[in-house]
Amino acid sequence: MSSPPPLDFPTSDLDAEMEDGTAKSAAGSGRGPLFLPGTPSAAGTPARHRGSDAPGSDVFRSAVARRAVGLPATPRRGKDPLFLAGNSSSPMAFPSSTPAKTPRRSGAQMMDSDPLDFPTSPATVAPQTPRHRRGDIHPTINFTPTSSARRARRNTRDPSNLNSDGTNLDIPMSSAAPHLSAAPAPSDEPDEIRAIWGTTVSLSDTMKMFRDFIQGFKPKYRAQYDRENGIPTKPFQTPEDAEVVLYEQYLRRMRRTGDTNLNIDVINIMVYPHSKKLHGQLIKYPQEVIPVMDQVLKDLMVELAELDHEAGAEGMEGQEGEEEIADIISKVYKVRPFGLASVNMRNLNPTDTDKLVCIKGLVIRATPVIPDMKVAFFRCLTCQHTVQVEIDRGKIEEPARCSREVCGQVGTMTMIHNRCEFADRQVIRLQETPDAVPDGQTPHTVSLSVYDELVDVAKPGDRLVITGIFRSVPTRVNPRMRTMKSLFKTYIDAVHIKLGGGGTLGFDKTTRPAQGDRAPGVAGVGDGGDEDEEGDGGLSRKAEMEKRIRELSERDDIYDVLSHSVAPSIWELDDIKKGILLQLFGGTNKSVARGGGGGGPRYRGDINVLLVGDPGTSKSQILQYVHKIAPRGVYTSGKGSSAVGLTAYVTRDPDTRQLVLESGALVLSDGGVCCIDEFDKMSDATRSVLHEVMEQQTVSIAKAGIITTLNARTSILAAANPVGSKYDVDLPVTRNIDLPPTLISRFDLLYLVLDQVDENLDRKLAQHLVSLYLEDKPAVESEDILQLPELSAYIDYARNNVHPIITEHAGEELVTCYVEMRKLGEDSRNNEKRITATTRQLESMIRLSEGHARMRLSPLVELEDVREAYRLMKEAIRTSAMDPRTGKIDMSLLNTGTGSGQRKLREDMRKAVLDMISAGSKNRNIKWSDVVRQLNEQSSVKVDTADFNEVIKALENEGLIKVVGEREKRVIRKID
Amino acid sequence: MVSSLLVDALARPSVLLQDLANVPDDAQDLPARVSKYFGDIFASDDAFNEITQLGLETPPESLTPRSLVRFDAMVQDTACSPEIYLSKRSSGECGGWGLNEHDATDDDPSPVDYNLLRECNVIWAVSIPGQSPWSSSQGDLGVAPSTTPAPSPLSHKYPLPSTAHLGVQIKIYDSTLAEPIRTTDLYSFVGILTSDPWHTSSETVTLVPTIHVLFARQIASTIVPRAFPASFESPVREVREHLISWVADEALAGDKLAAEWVLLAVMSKVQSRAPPILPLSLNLTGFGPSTASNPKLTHVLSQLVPMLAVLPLSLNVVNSTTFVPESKDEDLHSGWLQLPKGSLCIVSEVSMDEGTVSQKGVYNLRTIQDTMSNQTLDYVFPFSQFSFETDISFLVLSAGKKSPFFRTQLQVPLRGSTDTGLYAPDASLIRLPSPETLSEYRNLIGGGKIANITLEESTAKFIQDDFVKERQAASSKNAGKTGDVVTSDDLIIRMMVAKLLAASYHRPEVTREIWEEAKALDERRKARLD
Repeated sequence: MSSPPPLDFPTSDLDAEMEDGTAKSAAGSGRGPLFLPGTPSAAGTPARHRGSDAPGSDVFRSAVARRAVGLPATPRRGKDPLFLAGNSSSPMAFPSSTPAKTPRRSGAQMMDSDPLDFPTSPATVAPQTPRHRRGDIHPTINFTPTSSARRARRNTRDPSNLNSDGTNLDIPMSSAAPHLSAAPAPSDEPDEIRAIWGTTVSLSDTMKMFRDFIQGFKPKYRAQYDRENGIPTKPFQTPEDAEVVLYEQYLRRMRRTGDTNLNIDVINIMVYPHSKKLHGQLIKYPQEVIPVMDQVLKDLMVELAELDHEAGAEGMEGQEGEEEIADIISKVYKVRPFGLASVNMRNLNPTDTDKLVCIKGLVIRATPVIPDMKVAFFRCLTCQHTVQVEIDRGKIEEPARCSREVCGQVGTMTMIHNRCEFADRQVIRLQETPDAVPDGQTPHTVSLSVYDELVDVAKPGDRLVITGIFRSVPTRVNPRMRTMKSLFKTYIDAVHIKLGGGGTLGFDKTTRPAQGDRAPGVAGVGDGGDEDEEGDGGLSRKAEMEKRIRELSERDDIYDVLSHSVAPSIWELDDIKKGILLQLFGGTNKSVARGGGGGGPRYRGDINVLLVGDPGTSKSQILQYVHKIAPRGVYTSGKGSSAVGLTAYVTRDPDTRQLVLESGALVLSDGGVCCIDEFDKMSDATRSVLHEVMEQQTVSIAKAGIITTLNARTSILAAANPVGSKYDVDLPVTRNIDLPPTLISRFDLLYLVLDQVDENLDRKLAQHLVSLYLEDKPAVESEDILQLPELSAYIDYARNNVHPIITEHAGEELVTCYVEMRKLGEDSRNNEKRITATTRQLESMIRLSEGHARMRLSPLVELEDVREAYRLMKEAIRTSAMDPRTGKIDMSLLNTGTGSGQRKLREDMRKAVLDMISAGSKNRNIKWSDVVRQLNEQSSVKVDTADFNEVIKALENEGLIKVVGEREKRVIRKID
Repeated sequence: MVSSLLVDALARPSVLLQDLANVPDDAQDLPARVSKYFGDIFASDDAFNEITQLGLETPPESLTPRSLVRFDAMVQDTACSPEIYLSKRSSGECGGWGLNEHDATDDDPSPVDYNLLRECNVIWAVSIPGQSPWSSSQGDLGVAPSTTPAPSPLSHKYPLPSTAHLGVQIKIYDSTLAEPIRTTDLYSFVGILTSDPWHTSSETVTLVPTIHVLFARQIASTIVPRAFPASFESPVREVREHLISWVADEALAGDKLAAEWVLLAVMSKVQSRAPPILPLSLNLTGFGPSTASNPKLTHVLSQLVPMLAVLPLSLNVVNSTTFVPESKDEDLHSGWLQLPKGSLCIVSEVSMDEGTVSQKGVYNLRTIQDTMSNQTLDYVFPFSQFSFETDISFLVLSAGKKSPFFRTQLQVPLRGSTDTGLYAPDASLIRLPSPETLSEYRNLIGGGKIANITLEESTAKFIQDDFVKERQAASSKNAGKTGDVVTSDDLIIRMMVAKLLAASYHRPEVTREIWEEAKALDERRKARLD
């Protein structure tokens, strides 16, 4: 329009452009107030219309443009200044131009030229830049206008166009922005090699490679790579699946869904033979390469749309298609690379500056959305000349003087706020996840800047995998001091966010609204399906862990390995450990799907275990250990606990005047294991709450006028001391344990941990302990056991991933076992005060079998699971259901220590005792001490008192003898 | 030559540093060279002691900027973000160590060469919490804590609230030096003192004393170097005997048994994590309610152990102070229990009253119990907790018959024989033995703390037999019914006691005699419980 073409070509300095601009804006100001804010739509419409148009030869485009002018959608798009500046190399301005608008647009750049009018003008370059203005990328160079680049390439494909406007376009591009370090050149200009500053990386090659990649990548390349690296992949359902041009599909999907972000797995770039180099370039020079990719992406989007339009693909016919194309042209497309191997954030160092990195972390803080000024709009107070200044490395250079030479006044430029452009920005503080922190170290944190679509994706508490550009910028530390230029701060500009990265604590998807939640792929297309999230850069830690767990689960002795790993410092008690192990795995929670009330009742899958035993038998240690490994474990002492509530009271015991602490028992370890020590010392009121917890799995609270029910889906592991602190074997269990039978029956397993004096056992125990505690280097456990974190991970994995179902066989076996167990109850002569198997026990058995199957990571409950569950139940029931008067069950079986030798010994002793009693037939009464003395005389070894007690008791139970009297005066009487 | 270098290093460390930087040496990074260079200059203890030591008597404000200082400190916070600095200015001068930071040419147009950027680790260190004055190398002057404590800028980063202390920002340029540093580690940091801003998330910038570290030395957990077995002027049994009577007479109303247990508890430490052989926690009961003054025991023990923290439990303290370090706004606040390894923590319940314990209080009490029984402390970070290993011996003083809050491995009811009170308003009422004797006492305890006790095969066998025999005897006596059967837990405690007993005699081995003595000691303790 006003500036002569020759001026444009050599524009090697800003001045020339300024002049150019000056001329224009002069014209503009002459035209009137359209400059001023308030006319965006008016300005926008023609701009779009121009932008979308191509030199007359292109039929489609002019058609689009024509339509676009009158389209209702136009104003919306027109408001987008990015777009405004965007597609502006069209000469359409000449015919349709309302000159008034042109100058306004010209104000859009520092180089106040009006590029619209001069498609050949190098200044075209400048207006294009906003299209790349992504918050996360601060390129050091500017790029060829997308549209022209696109057209240039189109031209190479389409010779007819080449003649018409190709030359026109190529020239400006090659001379684009000469003051900049580099600019991409179209490939048909071989003389010109545009490279990333300081390297030999040619941008045109880069563009070509990326174009090739998008147009040529097929899943088979990735599959091959995965195979070679031993990464498990899903097999293709059909051979064709391997051959689809994946990213073209994604492009089409983006068009359909209106997405503007394409997530690209960098591994894919690497494995595609033609773009191998691009992978390295992308990581080393993301600031330059990503904008190039954005640009190619947009070109391809348009090309693809046009192709589809020509081919009349669905939804792309006729006018609809043209609208679609116009829409695409108006959009800003962004490539979001991801899939790098993540590094620990403390390994990021200054040499990573400006490179693409990937880190994992936990969001601990996120600022509100910050409007980030991208382009500042200045107006000269004197001459109304306007200038826009773009942000450069976090700074906006305020023009000191009016750039218009005619005016040239100093200090007249003022910022017009509502004409400035802002983008969303958010600063996130990311902290190392616990699994990444080296032992004994405190976690590090880094700052993260997220922009545009990524804003508000992550919330505090989320785990993220971030791909971004690492930055170091000089700090302006203290306003009171001069700038300290030798200090820098670092942060990461995020280009891609993935939620729920690694670790076991992925975010709970259900806590996010279904709508508008694009996680975990976050904003955009191309994560490659929705489920295969695991492919992030080789074998992730999680996958490795999973592999190891799977391997472990296939071991034949996994049950023993795991049970030995439970509290390894505790001697023996194998069955108890096994029971607790199954408790940790737990059964599956079931609810009856059909039936009233939408779901019917819920059956708990939690297994409750009660340990009753003598003091000093490591019960507390077991509890402590479980508390450590159990998910959400809570440890509490039953003494002075109240069931609900989180506060406590220090009060004086009314009797002793001693201070006591009454604490809340925190039974609300919902979803975990609640370990209650000194269960017997719990107050009755508290225990009654446990009734509810243990069967209904809820806690009802009536406090301060509020009545409510809280979930308490918790397994309970309780330990109690017998009445009188030492277990009295002569009394039935129920009299030994001061707990109501109703409560006892709610425990799936009840173990008696008795401190039995047994020479062999004692010796072994002493040996074990002495070596453990006194010798310098405690003997390392020879058997292989899992360390605590590993065991914990195993349990966690099983609980989350395995939900076994009972097979028919197992079901039958359950029935058989239950019937047998009932019989076991009938077997006794006196069933008062005894616990027989009830349906509760059947349920327990089901839960235990499920737990056992889960431990094997088996999806099905099989025969062996039921058998083991039955065995455990029997072991437990046997002891708890034992009545000393009917006691068929040998107490010492409880501890596995009783060897067959010992049993033989007892057998002999039994005979001897019977002989002795029969021998003294005259007097059927024999003194207890006499028997012991006589036995000792007969025997070569000393008679073990415990054995002797057992023998006598057994005889008594059989009804052969009767013991009368107390202690030393006991007399054994023969019964005929 | 060397001495002049020493003088130079003391007077003008920055010049020396600059000179060193100007001599190019590609073989080694500058930070590593600096550590070695200055470490060598101050290799001898005499030279090391020449360095001005930061302390309450010589606060940073009293020193000229950029002077060479030494700070014996506990690392409080290692979670600070590292700092990036330009290792070489455009003018060729060396960067880092606060050198040439202030650039006059404000608008340096030359682009930054990112290859010259280096990382420097920033940590926060505080005066060693609970350090007894005698163990500080500033000399045992018996100075009462200065009446006007200079307020440290970030007092929330010191474990013991409202206690005079120093807090200093430490910048470490040598990454090999910085890497092994963990929280609660004890170090002597030597470097150049400046005043730098402290980076927090808050907008306000505070200037804090900062040491740009030239080199650092780790401090042993006994603070003063100790030997085991150590040599004593008089036979060790006598020293031990005197020590016990002194503690008993001055602090425990003449109760020698309790004093002996205190001695053993003070010497116990973490011996192994797997299996867990942790310090024995001791509960002294029957102190009676407090009369607003401290138990004498704290005064006495502060003369004996190098690091002693007194945690005076009261409803207020429990409900409103923090016990565990917690990261708030990315600043790691300290808590009562963030104590160096090897500390003794006296939890005094004597001033506890009736009332409500808040949720925080319950959490706090639980934390003490957990630390006591697991010797780990969970630092609270947003959305996560990190467990750190500690090594703190706990001594719980209860007013009543037993502690309402804690379960300790050992419990000893106090049986005073004299009517001297258990409480004293201040340390002046304690009669101190002669300095030589006192130093013998300290030597005995310090040596015992680092002792490594072994056991001969025959003794191990003896102990096993003894255990079996005892159980047999007990069970036959009571015919398997109720009674005092020795349990495995008893055995464990006895064995730990035996080890400590051997250590207290400075004997490297548990012998039969010591085993018998340990048993007897435990029996006497148990007898009091009934």
